[in-house]
Amino acid sequence: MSTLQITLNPLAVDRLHEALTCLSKFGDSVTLEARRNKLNLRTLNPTHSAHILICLAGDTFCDSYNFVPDPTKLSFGSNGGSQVSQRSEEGAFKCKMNVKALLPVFRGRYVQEPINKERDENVVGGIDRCEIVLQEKPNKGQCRLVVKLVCRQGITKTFRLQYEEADIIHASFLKEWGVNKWAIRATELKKWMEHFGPKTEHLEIAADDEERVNFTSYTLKVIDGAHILKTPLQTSIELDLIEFNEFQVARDTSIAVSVKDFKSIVTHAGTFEHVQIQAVYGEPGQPMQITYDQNGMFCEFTLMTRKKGAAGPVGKAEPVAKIMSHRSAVPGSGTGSVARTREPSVVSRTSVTPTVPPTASAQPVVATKDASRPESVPVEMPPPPLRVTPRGGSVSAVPNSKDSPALVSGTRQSSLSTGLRGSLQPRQSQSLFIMDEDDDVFGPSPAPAGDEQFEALLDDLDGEDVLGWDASLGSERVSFVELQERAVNADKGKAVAGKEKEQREGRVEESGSYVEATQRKNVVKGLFDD
Amino acid sequence: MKFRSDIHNISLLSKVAGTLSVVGKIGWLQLTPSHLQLRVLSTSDNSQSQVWATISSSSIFSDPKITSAHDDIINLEVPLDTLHRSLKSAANSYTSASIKLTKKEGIPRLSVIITTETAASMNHAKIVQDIPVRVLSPQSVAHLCKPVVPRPGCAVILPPLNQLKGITDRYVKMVGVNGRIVVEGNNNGVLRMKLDAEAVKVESEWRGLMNPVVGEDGGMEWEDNEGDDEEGEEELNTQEKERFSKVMVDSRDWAKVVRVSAAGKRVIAWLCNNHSLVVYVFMDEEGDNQATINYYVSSMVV
Repeated sequence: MSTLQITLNPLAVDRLHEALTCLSKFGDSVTLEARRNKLNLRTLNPTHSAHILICLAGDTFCDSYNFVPDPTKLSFGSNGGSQVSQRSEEGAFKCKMNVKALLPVFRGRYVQEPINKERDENVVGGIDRCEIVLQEKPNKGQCRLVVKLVCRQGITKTFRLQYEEADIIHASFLKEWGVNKWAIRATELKKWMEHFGPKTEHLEIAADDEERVNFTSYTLKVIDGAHILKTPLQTSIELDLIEFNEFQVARDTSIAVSVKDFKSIVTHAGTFEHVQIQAVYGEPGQPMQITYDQNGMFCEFTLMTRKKGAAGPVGKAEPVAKIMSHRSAVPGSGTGSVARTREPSVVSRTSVTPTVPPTASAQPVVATKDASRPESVPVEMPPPPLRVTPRGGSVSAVPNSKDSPALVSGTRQSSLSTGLRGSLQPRQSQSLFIMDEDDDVFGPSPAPAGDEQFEALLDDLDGEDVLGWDASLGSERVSFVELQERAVNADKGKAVAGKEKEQREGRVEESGSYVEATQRKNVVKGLFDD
Repeated sequence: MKFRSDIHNISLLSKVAGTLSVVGKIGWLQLTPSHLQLRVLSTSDNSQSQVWATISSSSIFSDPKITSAHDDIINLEVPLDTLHRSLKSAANSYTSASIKLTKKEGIPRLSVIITTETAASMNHAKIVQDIPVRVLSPQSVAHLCKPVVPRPGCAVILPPLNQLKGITDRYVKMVGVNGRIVVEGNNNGVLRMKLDAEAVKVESEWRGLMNPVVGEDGGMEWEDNEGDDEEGEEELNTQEKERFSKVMVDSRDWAKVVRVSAAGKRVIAWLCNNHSLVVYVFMDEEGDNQATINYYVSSMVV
């Protein structure tokens, strides 16, 4: 049983709410990962073109932070404890929650803008502190994240929130990709972004010469004559390089990201007072990483980029080659675009030491992790053994009911094509547009015909020019603190490894199915029932 | 066809576009050397209304250059919210702004070019907003003209608009979106709003409002019927002053009228008994007709 106790001051609660608001703009669920000294919030958007990591430091963001990993989970499985990445995952408590359920809990708890501290103490309303406690009582079927808001007039509001078991998905961003770099004050950039209308889809960031930068929004939707007036507002902003605190971008570099995503990021960054946004990216088709941090909150956004105009073959070819070469240099990252790391994870193990056989014996572990916890694997998840592809340990990241066993196990393309096309439009509906893009509406533009674009789309299915999420990356980019944490975990873990395995195996036989309900129905209560 | 001009009053144009976007999505914009006219039709199920905004060219543009094959008049169809959006973000902080008709990617566009000073370096940043438009032929708009209304039975200056808005919102809630609201007024400074729904009957009355002389502000037009007696206002006897003129309008239309009215400094309503409601919204102070919005709503048949 893991122990997690967090105390937040009202300001931190407000910050947390803003962070969750930002996450909710990308996806419906947030993954919480509690570690010894920090709490990670992650969201992957449905098209897998954006990954957000918001890290709350235990010492600086929280008033108090105490996490003790579940001793029974500090194990290494059958392969011993030599894998670094695995150790880092050990013991971390992970769960997934609906962002929309979390948002109202933290909304408006902070009385805005206190002029001075003394007066703030007397302000009526608002909260005094917020306590978050993990209540993990698998035996009683009561697994809840309990958020207690201690208000100023002696009222305590308690929220018991359901969660479900989750995997951690890391965004992969190779250092080699970060050849272009700029930094700007968040408030400045926010002001500029306000000029962009709500309907445009893409934002091109182009450094054409050595003095000016262009932010231009554009759409790829086909607009026929009758609906010409529905063409979104096209906005272009030309800024002097002086506006940037730092600007190192190769000449004629132009990338495009989603306006909505970019705006969401900038809006969130703009809520901090003196924060500087740093963006790092390579060529179109490689991800862009945007980071900023303040007061113990570290935010990292990984967005897929594309070339303006959805890229004909010419535009695509080069980046693909480059990425391939990058990838070959990194063991284990080549195949899986998204890797889910269950714990003890087949995936992370294979990505670090590829010699480990894609084990049949380990697969049930994936499904029945933590047999003692009556937790759910979402019902629509495909059976775990099938989700692990034999090659390289890449796993479909989409717990998608469509992924029939045959599809998933047979081809990794299937998972890629459904979700990982960062550089492409969201699937299905939009792919229709890609087919007939560059209709005569955009007549004289030199963009290629629909066929060629479709080819480009097919090219992408090779899975090379995509936004990659890789478990191994997480291990390579760990901080010093994490390394320490691993060492601690490793020692603890060895002891309980064997026992844990026995438990799991027993569970597999007993349950027969890998999917379980979160709780017995008779103990289920409403979200806010006490 | 060419149009290019500097804009010296972005906020007025932005306000007009924003106000009209309440009424409809797409408007007909007519640019002439002397004025700019924007018309929007309201698409409601069981009633008809239209809004005409007229702004003199000089109150928005400086040094406009406009040429076309048809008397230097350009007719465009513009998406109002997009137009509003493009102007709104810049309205507060711009050092210079201009507008021109261009064509990009095969789509004709009104390009609003704004330069603004950056806070950090005091350098200039350039913002270009391209609004998609459709060019209309003179023939396609030739038949469009302002509706003709009879001489109003009552002309009244509307009560404080925030007050009117609050009450109207409540009415709309009570009566639903397709409900009917009766507005009636007389020449003795009384205006009434009535609602007769299934479950509720409500009436609000304002007294002591001003009754301006019909046509005292310029730009107002009406058609006198042959049979009407041509009595001046001052000759109205007490009985005639007390006589109410009544119109019945769709609740949503009325709510829009009130919202549009809120943009003006001086708002005069004409009640043409059982025929129509005309609201004259003057964007500037009294006596200045540089920018006006006329809202025509036909009365529903009782």
